[in-house]
Amino acid sequence: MKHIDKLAHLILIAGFAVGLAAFFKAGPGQSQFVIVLSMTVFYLVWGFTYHHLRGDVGGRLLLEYLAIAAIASVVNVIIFAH
Amino acid sequence: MIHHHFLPHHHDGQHHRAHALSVGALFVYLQLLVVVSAGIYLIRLTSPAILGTATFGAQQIIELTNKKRVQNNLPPLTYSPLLEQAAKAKAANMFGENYWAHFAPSGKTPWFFITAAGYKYLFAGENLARDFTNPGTVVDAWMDSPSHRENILDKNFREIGVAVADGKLTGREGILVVQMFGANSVPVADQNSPKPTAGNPQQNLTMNYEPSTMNSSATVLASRQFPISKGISLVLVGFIFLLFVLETIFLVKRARTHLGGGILAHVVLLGFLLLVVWYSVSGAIL
Repeated sequence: MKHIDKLAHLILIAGFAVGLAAFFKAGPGQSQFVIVLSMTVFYLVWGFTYHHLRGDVGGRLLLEYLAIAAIASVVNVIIFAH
Repeated sequence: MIHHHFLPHHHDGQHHRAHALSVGALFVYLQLLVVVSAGIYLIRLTSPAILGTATFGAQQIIELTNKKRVQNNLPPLTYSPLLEQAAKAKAANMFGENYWAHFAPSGKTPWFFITAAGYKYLFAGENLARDFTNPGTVVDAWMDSPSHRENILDKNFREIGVAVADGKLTGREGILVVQMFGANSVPVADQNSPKPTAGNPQQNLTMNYEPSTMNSSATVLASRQFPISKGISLVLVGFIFLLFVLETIFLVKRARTHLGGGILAHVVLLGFLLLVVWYSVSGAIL
């Protein structure tokens, strides 16, 4: 389990590092909106997969992920979709 | 206890998160964000004057640029209507071809616009900025960037022209600033002066430091809707991020090897979001 933990967090950080690099490389425009949206989806998929593997998926945890993902999506819309 | 709202704590032998990080609180932040942003958007549609506007003009950019030059013991640049015309043409072309770059997709270079405006240059340069909400932050951002600073403080440049325009560029509404620098091979102030000699082109240039009149149409009004919305987003995301960071520090200090509940994932996403909002608030230069 410890190995899965390490691997999962490594994937998480690597994924966001790639997302951040892509965001700055893309420059201002619609593609930045898509990148932030993709990272939010990645976060949700990562969370559900990780907690499923750990066997601790629960209603409260899912709501927590959804709430943070929703905040990220609203902020993304505020910043880029105008 | 009030600190339990913002700090993780132990109670009855169990670890408790800050109350401000409960699922209910997260949904309250979400609602707050939606309601406030929608409210500001509606105010902009119905009574934009309430939000106020900021004047954003080419003349302000020129004055601030010259202030930086004077602070660095360089002579101020003279306003050139031809360079302004070139800057306006470049801005129009950027909106027309929908690009954010020094070189147009159609192959047009910055020098194309300068030459097309009838400006015969010995030296020329271009700075670009977008999505800023006031002229001061534009010039400060350029001064913080070595290549843009080099243009502003280039002793070869004698004249300047700036265009400020608002519109939709690469899918986003915002203000675009095009700053053109130049040294004319035919000095406007002294048409009868000898022609510049090759190898030492600045030698015969005449500098005119008299203030020139600017075209008032080079001013746009920046709505405060987006800065306000972005500011609220920045504060809210920053607040949640900080609480999760405190939670992480608390758990690590308690020698917990595993950060349960996906805290690291929340911190990473919120940190990413903070960088995104910060980048968006600060605008972009090129």
